[in-house]
Amino acid sequence: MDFKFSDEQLKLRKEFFDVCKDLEKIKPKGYVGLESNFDTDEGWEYHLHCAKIFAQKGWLALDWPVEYGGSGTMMDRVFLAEARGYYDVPGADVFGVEMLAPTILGAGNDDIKRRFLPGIASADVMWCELWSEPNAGSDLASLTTTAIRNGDEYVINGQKTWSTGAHRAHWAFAVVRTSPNAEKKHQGLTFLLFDMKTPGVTVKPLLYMEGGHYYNEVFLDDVHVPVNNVVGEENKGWAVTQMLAGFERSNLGAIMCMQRQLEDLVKYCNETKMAGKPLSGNPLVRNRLAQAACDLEAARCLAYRIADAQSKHEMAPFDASAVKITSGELQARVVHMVTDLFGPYGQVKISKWAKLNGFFETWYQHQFRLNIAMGTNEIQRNIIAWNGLSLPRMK
Amino acid sequence: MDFNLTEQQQMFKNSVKKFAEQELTPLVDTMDKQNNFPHEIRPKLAAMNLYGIPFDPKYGGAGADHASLALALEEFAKILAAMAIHLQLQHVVNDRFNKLATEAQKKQWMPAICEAKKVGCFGFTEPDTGSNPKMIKTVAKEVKDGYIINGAKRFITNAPWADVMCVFAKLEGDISLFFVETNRKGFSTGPKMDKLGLRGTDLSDVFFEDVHVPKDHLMGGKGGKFDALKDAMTIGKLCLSAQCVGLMQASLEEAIKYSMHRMHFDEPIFNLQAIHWLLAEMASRLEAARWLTYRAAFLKDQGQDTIKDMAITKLFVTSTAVDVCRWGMQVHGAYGISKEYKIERLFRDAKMYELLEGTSEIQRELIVKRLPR
Ligand SMILES: Cc1cc2nc3c(=O)[nH]c(=O)nc-3n(C[C@H](O)[C@H](O)[C@H](O)COP(=O)(O)OP(=O)(O)OC[C@H]3O[C@@H](n4cnc5c(N)ncnc54)[C@H](O)[C@@H]3O)c2cc1C
Ligand SMILES: Cc1cc2nc3c(=O)[nH]c(=O)nc-3n(C[C@H](O)[C@H](O)[C@H](O)COP(=O)(O)OP(=O)(O)OC[C@H]3O[C@@H](n4cnc5c(N)ncnc54)[C@H](O)[C@@H]3O)c2cc1C
Repeated sequence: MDFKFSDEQLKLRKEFFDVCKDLEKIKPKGYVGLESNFDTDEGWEYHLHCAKIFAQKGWLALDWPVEYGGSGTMMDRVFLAEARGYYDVPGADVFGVEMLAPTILGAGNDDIKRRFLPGIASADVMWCELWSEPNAGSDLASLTTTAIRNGDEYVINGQKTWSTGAHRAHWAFAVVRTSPNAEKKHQGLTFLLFDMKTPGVTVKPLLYMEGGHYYNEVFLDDVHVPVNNVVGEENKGWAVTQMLAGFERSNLGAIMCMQRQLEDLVKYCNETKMAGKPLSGNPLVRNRLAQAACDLEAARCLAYRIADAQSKHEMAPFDASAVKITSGELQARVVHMVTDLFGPYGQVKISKWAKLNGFFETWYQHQFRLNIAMGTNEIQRNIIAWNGLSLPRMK
Repeated sequence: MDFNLTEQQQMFKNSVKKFAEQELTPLVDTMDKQNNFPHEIRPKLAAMNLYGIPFDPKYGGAGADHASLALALEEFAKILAAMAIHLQLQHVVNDRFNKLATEAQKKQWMPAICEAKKVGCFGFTEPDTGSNPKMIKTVAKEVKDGYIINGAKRFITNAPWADVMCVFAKLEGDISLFFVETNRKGFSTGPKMDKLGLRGTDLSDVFFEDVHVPKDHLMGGKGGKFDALKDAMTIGKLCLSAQCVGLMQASLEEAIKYSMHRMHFDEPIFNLQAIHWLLAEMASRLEAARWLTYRAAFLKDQGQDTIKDMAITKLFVTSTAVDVCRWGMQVHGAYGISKEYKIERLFRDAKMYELLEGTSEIQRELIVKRLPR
């Protein structure tokens, strides 16, 4: 066992932190992280700007094979995620860099690799994920969007939903039904890629509860996609979706983001006086801050453990579920704590009355999605039950 | 012991329910999406005598009990909690007049508020505190023909268009209560605040610059009015708790409705045990909260309401509402965060109640000080 990082690792980690610290300084006003980059034009410009800087340094392809520009390890990638999380800096396309690239590396043929990896590494192409449908969420395999083969093309028809950033993305990766008559619903699915500018693709906003535009409905009407855009094999797309588990799953980015929130909060409590005394002198406030610090430390240890396992290809299938629940639920507790400590000032929108720039009023509403997106926490618990604890599998 | 509603209470509840469904449903977007108060509703509220439910008819009230007030607010909050807050504030102001004003003042203000001719607001919170009376900086100075008030108040509901304000200020070092007509020279309000939940209940800062009021505007004599505040808050806490019951009821109903039609693995998610557990938990907490609230109303009607009982009710019911509405969201999956479903508004509104009429931390302090030792 060794809980220390090597000097080399620490040097690189510091470089990531330094660069992200500089990028934080040019953050647009009202940018509150997570998916803010999709909402406003300034947010998106900022994301592209950061992405270009990372790309020039080769940081978007760190743990790829050398022939595709790789130069580092899985752990280096985790460090970059930490730095970005801490300074709340976008720039690594969650769909392209974090999900699609490892999938292509694992399941794509050489042609797919050659055609699509360079655009991801250079940050020229941004991606979105078209999986969920109005009637297929947790039960993804019941999806009904069809892709019917016609010579060298598929013709896609159907509707996708909750498509994060689809209004900004250049390309999409989708799961569709290529064999509608397959015996089981997990069969007959195919994983394919297409340009969002293809005729027949229509994107409509789905507004978040605070009015932000991050998510979309995507309508696919007679969308023609060449068959050589399939990742893996036709009708074997389910296995490819399962492979996405290969992407960075430690959630260290999210955990560092909370670390920063806690630090900002401690500063606020030291500087803010109540009844003439600093808030940080109040036993209740101290108690809650200390509890959050303990929870964070535990979450961070779990996350590093998973990053380590993943870098050694020893990750158990339920590890990712455990850390997702831990960090998502911790974020909810942190946000509740902050809104309690701020009293009514935690509830006013960005304005002269808001504390810490209204960050937490927005976050109060955003915490929820962490426990739903990418598999709800109920589904994660099911996975732990049957995969981790070998309990009988239920629906 | 008798847990049943009287026939009268039941009839009143039914008529408010019908009114709320018909009249408040069309106002949801105006308040929540546009953050505006729909003034056209006010005469209708007055016509139903909803501004003065527990007050004596000779002052324009309906002469009903506090249980009826709670039932009305519960029905309102099921549809549109922000409107329930508006209603509550009028009761809080009227309650102050009822308890502390002269007969002539009661006759002047209470019927006017009940008939929607006048609007009241209530001001304790200041930029530096909403919880600590020692920190109150608004001051009143006695002069020959009355008092001069200076200071600032914050987060005041209805302030942008109220006609009269009950305001706490320090007089000779102790807290006193005044009422101030808002057209007096030196009274002004700041811009409207935009907030997480209970949107459309216009909220702003209030400024007093040498505002002069006559001697008779001092309510209930000099000093000692921190107790009057706590007393005023008991009615406020009852009102808030009742609204939280309404929010939870709506949240449970929405969650059940959604889970019955959301199909998964070829059957409604309502059939999943994970959903059973969420719904069962929601229903149990709601029921506990409801009876605690009704008991608080009962105690108030018996004149036995104590600060401790009201604090216990407020603490339990408001924090439970946050949990119940969050679970309601969870049942909705991703659709919970979308503006197209009602549940996200219930979730945002619920959080606001934890702060109103004293935060949860303050309730805990109030309770502990009054535990038998
Ligand atoms: C912020 C956000 C971003 C998203 N981005 C994308 C995206 O970019 N692309 C994309 O394709 N999708 C995206 N999604 C969709 C996401 O993948 C789905 O929301 C998720 O899979 C859950 O599906 P659902 O929302 O339809 O909920 P449902 O599956 O309808 O679930 C409703 C409720 O039932 C519970 N439930 C369902 N099945 C079970 C079960 N078997 N056991 C126990 N409980 C169960 C759930 O936990 C939940 O509480 C996003 C979602 C969110 C919230
Ligand atoms: C929608 C809305 C409408 C409102 N309408 C009105 C209105 O009409 N009139 C009015 O007067 N006010 C109104 N308020 C203000 C509300 O009643 C106060 O905000 C509330 O009582 C809390 O006071 P504060 O904001 O000053 O918190 P503070 O007293 O500044 O406290 C800040 C935080 O510290 C905590 N805290 C304070 N003291 C202690 C302690 N001793 N121990 C532990 N923790 C402590 C509090 O719980 C809180 O979390 C409104 C607020 C909102 C959000």
